Amino acid sequence: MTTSEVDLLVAAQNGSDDAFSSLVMQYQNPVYNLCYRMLGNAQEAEDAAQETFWRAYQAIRRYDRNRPFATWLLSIAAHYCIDQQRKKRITTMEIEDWMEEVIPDHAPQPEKRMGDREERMSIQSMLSTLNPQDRAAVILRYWYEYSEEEISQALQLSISAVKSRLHRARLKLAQRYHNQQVALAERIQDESPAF
Amino acid sequence: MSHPPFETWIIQDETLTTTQAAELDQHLLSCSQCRQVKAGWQPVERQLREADIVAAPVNFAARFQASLENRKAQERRRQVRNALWFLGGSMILVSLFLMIRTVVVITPARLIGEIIHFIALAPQRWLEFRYILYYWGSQIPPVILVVSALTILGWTMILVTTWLLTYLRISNQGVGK
Repeated sequence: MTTSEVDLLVAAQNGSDDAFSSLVMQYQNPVYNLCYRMLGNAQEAEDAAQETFWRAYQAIRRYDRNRPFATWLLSIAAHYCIDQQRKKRITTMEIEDWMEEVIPDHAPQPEKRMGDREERMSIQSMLSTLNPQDRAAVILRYWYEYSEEEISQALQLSISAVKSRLHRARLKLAQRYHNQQVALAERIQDESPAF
Repeated sequence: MSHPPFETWIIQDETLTTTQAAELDQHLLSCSQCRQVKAGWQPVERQLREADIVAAPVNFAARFQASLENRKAQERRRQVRNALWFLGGSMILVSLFLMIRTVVVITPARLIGEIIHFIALAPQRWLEFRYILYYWGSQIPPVILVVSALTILGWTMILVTTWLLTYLRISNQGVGK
């Protein structure tokens, strides 16, 4: 943590709303990305990210400054999203929502934008096959480059549980990708004209 | 069928030793299932590593800031509501306990008799109470009476002010702050 971030945290813990707003500005992208990757829907992700910051605001006095703030914040977001997923029992992603989503901040060229969207859909589609806790572990590992120990702290799991979840998730993703490729190859074969 | 440790070696993050890599290559030559895992995992891993961070929507932080006051007001209302429910619930429980205890310990006939007795003796007890007040009032020096009155008034003011300040603090910050 940088000195300015520590100052902001101290001020936020002493009740400064301005300091907390600065923290929101600083961490909005990582928190939103985690929520988006977990829930797969832009509106739900924004609601979840807003709720995460509100929960953090309420609990900021109990935050232990010896712990990385990002891990603490992402832990709140991950637990909230896992709870939401359990409540809703989502098993498949809402593809229509992805198509309607707006890519924020910048507007790249149409080809690139289409490519980004397809890639995002493909990744989201893969993630949606995992159960919420496995998905959270994969997101923290690959988007935030967290070690197994950091993931265990964020998700409040043992390190062996994290290892086992990551193993199971990777295997499932590999099998799903392989099956998709096989199905695609068969479809191309069926559609090709027979002479 | 799972093939440890080869399956783990294919999908783990750590780099394999030369011996492990050679063993894995040898195994892959004869195991189609592990070849499938490897063929599936490599593109997935590449996509995961190359995936970007999705940026929060424009004005996300401003929306949070705008909703903060509303959320704080809602939280204060919730805390006050909970405190009132707790207080009301406690009073109802205590009243119920006392009523049940009274009904169990005292028979209804005796209870009615006690009430009538209390009402009948009330005027006489009021006269006795007034007599005691007048008697002790005439015995105590006026200075002590004034000091006692000022002490009671002072403490009342301190307690009321403390209560008001606590009420204002809880109203502004909530119980957790």
